[in-house]
Amino acid sequence: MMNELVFPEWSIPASEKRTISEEAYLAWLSEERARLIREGALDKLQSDVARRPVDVRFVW
Amino acid sequence: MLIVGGHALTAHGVVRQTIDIDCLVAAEDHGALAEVLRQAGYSLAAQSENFARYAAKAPDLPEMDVLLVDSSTFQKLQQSSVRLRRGRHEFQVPGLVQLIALKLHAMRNEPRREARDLADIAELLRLNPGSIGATELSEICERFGPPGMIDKLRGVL
Repeated sequence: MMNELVFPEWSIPASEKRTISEEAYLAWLSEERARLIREGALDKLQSDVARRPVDVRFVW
Repeated sequence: MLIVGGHALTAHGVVRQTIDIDCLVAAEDHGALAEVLRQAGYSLAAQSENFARYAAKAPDLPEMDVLLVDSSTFQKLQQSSVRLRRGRHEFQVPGLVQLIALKLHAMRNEPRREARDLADIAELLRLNPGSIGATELSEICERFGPPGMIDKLRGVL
């Protein structure tokens, strides 16, 4: 059975909120990456501050 | 190996635009993972004591960020992990509390992540009501997060 994924409310208007199949999500992900490469935006994305190496080890 | 970062959110119901893959392994297993990645076409792009980044020349292979933890932490995270299916493959993802703790830890170490990670945590809590108590949430905020995080979370929930 395919997982159903729900877009978070803050990223999409409630009126457009919907579920998509995992296959559709993965297809979208692949297309989005190809688009970013075509537009030369991937380097910028990869240098995003969120991708900065973590300096302190996580300990649980 | 545990999948963390944006892809791990999907195991708990939250979808966020993300391309690259973040994973977490025991530091002692890093060598074995590096060899698997090397055979898949990846090479080491950056490394520190707690982190390694792998990149591949093939455009369809996303970057891989690897967080390194000690074996005791890895075992505890693995014990409370949940499954994430990706097509025919199945991965393990930290449990809800541990995933939130990882995000808090990342925020404490990089304050500029706060806006996005705060939104992710809020969404995780909204989509998993009752999964974590107020006291436990307060405790992990204090232990792992930046100062005042519990109040910020209460403000957005």
